[in-house]
Amino acid sequence: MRKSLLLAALIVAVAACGGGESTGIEVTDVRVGQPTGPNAALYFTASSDVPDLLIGAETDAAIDVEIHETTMGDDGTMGMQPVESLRVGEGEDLVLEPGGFHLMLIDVERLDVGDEIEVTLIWENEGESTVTATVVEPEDAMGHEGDDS
Amino acid sequence: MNVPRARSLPRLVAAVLVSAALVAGCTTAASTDDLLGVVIDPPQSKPSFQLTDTNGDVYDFAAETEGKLTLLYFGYLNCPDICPVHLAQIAETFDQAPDVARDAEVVFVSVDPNRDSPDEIRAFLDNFDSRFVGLTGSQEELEAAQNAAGVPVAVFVGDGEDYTVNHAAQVIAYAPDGLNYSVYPFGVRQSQWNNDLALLAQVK
Repeated sequence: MRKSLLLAALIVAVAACGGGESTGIEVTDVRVGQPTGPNAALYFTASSDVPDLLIGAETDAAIDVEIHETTMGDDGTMGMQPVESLRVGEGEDLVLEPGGFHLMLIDVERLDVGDEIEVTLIWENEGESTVTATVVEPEDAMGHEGDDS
Repeated sequence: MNVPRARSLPRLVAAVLVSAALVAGCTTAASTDDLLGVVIDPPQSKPSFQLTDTNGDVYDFAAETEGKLTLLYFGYLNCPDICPVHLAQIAETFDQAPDVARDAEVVFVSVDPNRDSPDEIRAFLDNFDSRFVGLTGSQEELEAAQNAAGVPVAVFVGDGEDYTVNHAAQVIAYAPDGLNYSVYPFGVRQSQWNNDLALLAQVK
């Protein structure tokens, strides 16, 4: 009995330790454009000292989540493709923003501007990390670079 | 000393008025030079095509938009990334400049007739501005409209229900004079929309 308690405590301690180290990936500016159809797009910026791969995501607010890339063709058309993973680290931030990468929330629940949803990001090495996304107006999902005022 | 000054005042007023008139005259002539979108040179004429609006009525694009600042965009509802940003930015400009919005027509054409019903298109557009016009049609009619507007015809990618649509990403702007001076690819900033829509509304 005492042994198992000790074991449990040890596990908790290790888990807590793991949690502490897992702040290696810093995820900021987590936002969802207010859904205007069955799907919504989630964006964020992640930085990490050590390389890792985002390999998936989950949220209770949507039936499914896919990693998507929006690309522009030579003829000016744009399309979306699912991608398997996204790389972070090695001195480069992973930036998800309109017109580039996004997490597509499929069959998302009704969300209003200002609502917050929890999303679990799944990293190849890091494991799972849960972040809170804020629902913003679609035009506010754009990044903040440039002269927008 | 005071007398000549008093006499010169009307001249001064006249000079100011002439200058103001010149500047005002220049504004219209020069305005398309100040566009921040992708400039189309030479300007292109407005296309003719007919589709069906969300009330089920025939919509003749050239006739319905005559004399109006017109923004034409081809997209689809399952597009969560770029389509809402374009439309939200235009709606934001309209909120800030009601006089620009008053004589403007925003026309969203769904290129995904299998998934996007007229009611769904209406609900989608009402997220932004209930004045926005939504159009649909048969695949053939939609292809004709895209060809008339000079954009690549949308391509469906993938199987089953989860296909995506590669479609023209730019908004095509027509000034009230019926000419297309500029287009707006994805990535345009709000300030650019504000600037250009105010300018284009003046080109009559």
